[in-house]
Amino acid sequence: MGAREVLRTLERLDSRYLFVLVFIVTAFPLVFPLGIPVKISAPVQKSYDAIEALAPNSVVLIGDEFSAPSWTELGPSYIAVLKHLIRKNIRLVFVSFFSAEAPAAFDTMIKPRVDFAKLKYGVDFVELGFVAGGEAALASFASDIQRTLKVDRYGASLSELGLTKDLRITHFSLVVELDPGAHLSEYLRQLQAPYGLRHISITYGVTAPAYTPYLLAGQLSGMLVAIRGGAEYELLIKEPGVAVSGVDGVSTSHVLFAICLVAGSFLSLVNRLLSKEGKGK
Amino acid sequence: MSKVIRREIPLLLVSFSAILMILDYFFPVPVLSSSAKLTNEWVVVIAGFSLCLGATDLIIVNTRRIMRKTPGSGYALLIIISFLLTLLLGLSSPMTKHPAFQWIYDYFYRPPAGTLYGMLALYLVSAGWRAFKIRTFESVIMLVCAWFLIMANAPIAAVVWEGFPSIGKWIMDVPSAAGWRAFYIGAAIGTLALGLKVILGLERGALGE
Repeated sequence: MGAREVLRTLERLDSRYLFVLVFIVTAFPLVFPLGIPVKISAPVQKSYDAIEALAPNSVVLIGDEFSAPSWTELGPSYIAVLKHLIRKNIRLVFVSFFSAEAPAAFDTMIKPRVDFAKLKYGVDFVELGFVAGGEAALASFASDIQRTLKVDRYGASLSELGLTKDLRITHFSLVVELDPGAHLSEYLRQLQAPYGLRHISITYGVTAPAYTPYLLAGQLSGMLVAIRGGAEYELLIKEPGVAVSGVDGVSTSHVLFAICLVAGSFLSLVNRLLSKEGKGK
Repeated sequence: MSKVIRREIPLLLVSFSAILMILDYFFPVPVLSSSAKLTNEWVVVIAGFSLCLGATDLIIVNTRRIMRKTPGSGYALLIIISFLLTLLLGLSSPMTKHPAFQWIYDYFYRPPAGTLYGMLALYLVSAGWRAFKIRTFESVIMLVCAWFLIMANAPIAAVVWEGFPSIGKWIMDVPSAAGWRAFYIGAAIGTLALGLKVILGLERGALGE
């Protein structure tokens, strides 16, 4: 086989070889950690500072739009931020407007990994569950919490729970939103523009460029992007966990992707030039 | 009469609700805000019912497929059984915390949901190798930007060269943010125009026309 055939074969390489390569490159650092240092980025530092600045007993709204597929990208950040909030004695109100499965995902994936045992339900935290209606429900919730929701997700009356009895949207000091990449604008429109609530977004890597204008404009007080954001936050709260252990895999897989992108383009360019040269002769 | 019920009344309702919401947003008049609040509460109730409607529709469509014995009707039966089973266990006390419901969520739903998302990494790498081709000057710019952004997100790149995160941040904060701002402003203007058309009854897509 000549050099040209080798180049052509490489360009049309069977995807399955690449899949095996991705598996090896991602799994290797999980088995043999590389210990690559992680630098804290400005949006994560801002998020940490915003939470650190909260007074004890402040109330934070958790816009929980989390779901099972979001685990790898959002899960570690969610856990790290909750640990920080609980450590600061912040009271938490969980509610979902766009992800119907968020309460179930919270029960099975998040709650067992965060120390809720020392918190008292109804006083330190309340789970309101899923409210159907999307942005209209969010607007209704913002204008009057007790009229929109009479009970929490377990059927307890909001007027009987200490935390929600007289709760108004203006009582929240911060919104932390788990964003799978679609609902930031709704939250900002309904909570920030009319009531001036500060907002931190925990979001996917692919969404980060779309949310950067909000960060630059100061509408976002901070942003945690994917597993790397989680790793940075775990380091900030000095509790390395699942994100720190997985971030080496992010490094190796990203480098592989960068190599594939350049190599694939280079091969296609060379093959095109060679075939033009062949036709010229 | 049917034209009035099917077209004119829904259009009137849409226009009235839209105008009410806009006025409430800009003018703090008590009558307007209480009416807007009530309308939003209605939406929450209607949305709750629409979930029931969706569930009923799922049962009807799949039952019809089973009765007609269309190809894949076995899957339709599976959908109905899993739906009813999950629903019953989800509603069993303690609601959504029944061990069997959580078992279904943990072992039936979570693994395939996570796997589907994880598979994106495989297809991204494959697309990077096989699909992305540099043919024009613009594609070269795209390749360079994408390359720096990928490297900026890999902590190992900063160890190799401190410049990777800085260049990646510049791309995100300047050209990419500028592009996104243009997109957002364009979309906002488009939404305004569409909103006006809906209020004036010129846009009737929602009525199935």
